[in-house]
Amino acid sequence: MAAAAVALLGLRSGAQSPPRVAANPQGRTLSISTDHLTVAATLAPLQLPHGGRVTLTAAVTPKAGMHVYAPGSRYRAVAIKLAATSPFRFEAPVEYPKAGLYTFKPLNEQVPAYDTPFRLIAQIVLDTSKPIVTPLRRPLPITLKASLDYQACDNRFCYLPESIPLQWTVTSTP
Amino acid sequence: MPRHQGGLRTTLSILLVAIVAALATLQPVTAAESFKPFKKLKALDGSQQSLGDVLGRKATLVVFFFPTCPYCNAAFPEVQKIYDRYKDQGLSMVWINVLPDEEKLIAPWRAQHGYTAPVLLGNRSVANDYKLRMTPTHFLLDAKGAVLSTHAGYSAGDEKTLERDVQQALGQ
Repeated sequence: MAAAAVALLGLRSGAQSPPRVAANPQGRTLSISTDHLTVAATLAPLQLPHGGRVTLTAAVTPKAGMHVYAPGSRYRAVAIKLAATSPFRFEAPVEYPKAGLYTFKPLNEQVPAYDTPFRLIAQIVLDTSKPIVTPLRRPLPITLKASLDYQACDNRFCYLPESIPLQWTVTSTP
Repeated sequence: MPRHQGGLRTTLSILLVAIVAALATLQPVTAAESFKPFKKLKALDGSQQSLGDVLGRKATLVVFFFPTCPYCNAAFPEVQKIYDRYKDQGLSMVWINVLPDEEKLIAPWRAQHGYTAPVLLGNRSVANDYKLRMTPTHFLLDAKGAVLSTHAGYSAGDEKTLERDVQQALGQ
């Protein structure tokens, strides 16, 4: 009970560092740290020719003792999501690396999870069913809003699910 | 010299304000506090219930959860047993879901596991109100709603601590 009280005392709610931004001609990387993990999310390229695609790569490093769930578990899996109002869509399902098996002792079950660095890769295209896309006669800056959603656990606690907002400006060209 | 003292005073004042602000963000829920009454929340039967509606004759166990929370699934069979053992002796219990996008899972999840403890449908702002960071988080309250103990997470054997606290709260 004392340990639990200490845990309640010592942890701040949903702490996320402000993103650090690094840009290069190929893309732009947002680096964010939470209580549970760090993520370097890169979008490249930032110029999107008509009919082209951009790649969102999320390099995630769980903090010591933490794990997040992978698809195939019955728990909330780590995911890249596009904002509901986004003029973009995934061209294909997000690519996940092979997950390890975490032994969840209280239920004596093995769960696919990541507890070491991993990358999620999403290929993203403009959703041509959305009116913003057509017709393009000049370069158009478009905001791409996404999030990295996850639930982290350690060997005693599961933390409330978190959603890390990610945002870039992509220039769509005819 | 006076100007120097004034500068020192200003620096100390700023430092004091910064320390108070920092401490405020870390303020925990402690066993000495009253449990903050929640606004009316929807129950599974569609009724609206406040804290006053769920307080037990002698004690109440409020548990924040969501159905796919791993440690909730480990803890709740034991928590349900505690409810079964003590509900007729003055223990009330309520489980408050904190993730609205999992509300649809609750009814089949309860049926699958045979859970009968009442459930209220909360949201993330309820979790924020109680500064929750993890689930399950238990608050054991006395008959007036004062917090007797808190407990977060689960590992095997925690249910014994919880049951002992419940027994004490019931005067056993």
